Amino acid sequence: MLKGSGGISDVEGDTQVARTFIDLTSVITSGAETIEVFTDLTQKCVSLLPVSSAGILLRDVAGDLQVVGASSASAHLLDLFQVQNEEGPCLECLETGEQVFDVELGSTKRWPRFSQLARHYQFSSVYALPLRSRRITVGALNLFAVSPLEPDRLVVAQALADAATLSLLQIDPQTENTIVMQRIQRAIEDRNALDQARGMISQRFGIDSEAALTRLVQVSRQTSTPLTSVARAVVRRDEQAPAFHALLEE
Amino acid sequence: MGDRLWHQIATRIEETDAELPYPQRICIAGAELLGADSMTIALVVDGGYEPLGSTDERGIRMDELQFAIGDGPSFAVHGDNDPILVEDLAHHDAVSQWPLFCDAARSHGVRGLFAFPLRIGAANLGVMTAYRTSVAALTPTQFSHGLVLSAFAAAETVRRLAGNPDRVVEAQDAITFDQSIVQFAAGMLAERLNTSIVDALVRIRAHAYASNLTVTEVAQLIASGRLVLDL
Repeated sequence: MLKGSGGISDVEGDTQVARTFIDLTSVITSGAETIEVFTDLTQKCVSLLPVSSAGILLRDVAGDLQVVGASSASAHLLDLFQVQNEEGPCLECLETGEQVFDVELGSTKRWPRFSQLARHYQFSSVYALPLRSRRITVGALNLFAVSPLEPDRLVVAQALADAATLSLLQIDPQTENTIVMQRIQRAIEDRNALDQARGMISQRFGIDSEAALTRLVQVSRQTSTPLTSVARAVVRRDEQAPAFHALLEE
Repeated sequence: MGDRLWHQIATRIEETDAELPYPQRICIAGAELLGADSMTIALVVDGGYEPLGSTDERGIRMDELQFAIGDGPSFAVHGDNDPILVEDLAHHDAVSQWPLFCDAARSHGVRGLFAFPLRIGAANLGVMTAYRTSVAALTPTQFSHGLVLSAFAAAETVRRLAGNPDRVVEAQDAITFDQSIVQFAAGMLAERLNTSIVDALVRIRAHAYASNLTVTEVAQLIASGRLVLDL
């Protein structure tokens, strides 16, 4: 029934989806750092859904959009393209707060330059799902696929997006707008810290950006330290941090 | 994009007296936006405090006091903390946390304090503080202005350290350009030269200015190994 890359059988898929929800919920209670929720979400979308790539845009306090997570370099570029050229499904999704999609890119005059670039990366379908906090749309999840998604998979994707937003903002109905703003700014600074650490690790070991991220994630798991804390320890050359030593070993 | 907060704030800064130093102009616009009686921006590098700009003498005195005694919200916010908002320095929560400072601040007529960290990723640059002589919480709008202003002030601080002229358009650039590649390149450079991230960001910006390239272009060159910046 599922088509496209990354598809898995329904039963196995549903079990994994359920597990993902539990993971996302545990993030809420453990207070893990925000950016990981989103980095994780893009990876989960690719492994649980028949999509090739996923990316996340958040609207910062100033109203500007920031790419905070992407499962691949092409998703990162396509997200960035939308921000810089003010054209694409994510922008419409953020404006309206509704799902926006095109299952056959380039077949209409919609987003001509974006469609061309997406086609260049072999994507033919694109979905932008709102990340919602009550009435405010704080960002959007972009999914890129080589063939249209079944409607039920889209429901799963939106549910994952909602759960991730909840855990990012750790929202209860009493959460004030100021706290929401603060968490979003925090997520953006966390992303910057992670990129800084990736650069340092990449330079030190002569590896590329992806390999550097893999290494940081490994150490985060080995030492049970949140990814952002590992990144901060690296950037600050914090010799007291166990994660710092684990990274430099081998 | 004309209605975005970033532009509104840039415009407010542009409207202040152009003869004044830029950090001071940020403080003047900031005081207005946040309803503050004094506003300051300070660099904090390796624990050392250096005033960058202030609306008035009182602001600087309040900052200096906190860093001299090592007590107070502006001192505490530097690091990994979120903004610290204290609407009433006479409230027992504030007094029990910062006893020395609260006492001294009140004797100078300061009743409220809102401290925002200046930060780029894992790099801490300093702190921006709004002081009030009356007791009132920040409104959500004032708070969002505070967050944007502190990002503005952080970008401005890097630009200033790089010796670049005052150009608001660059501050805009600092937020909307491809942050990922710039932060990544700064990490690479900091590791290779064994310097701090702030220092690496400053070098990237200074090189961009000197070579008439954008910050993103310089970062791309560094990330791809086509540009090697030396000490």
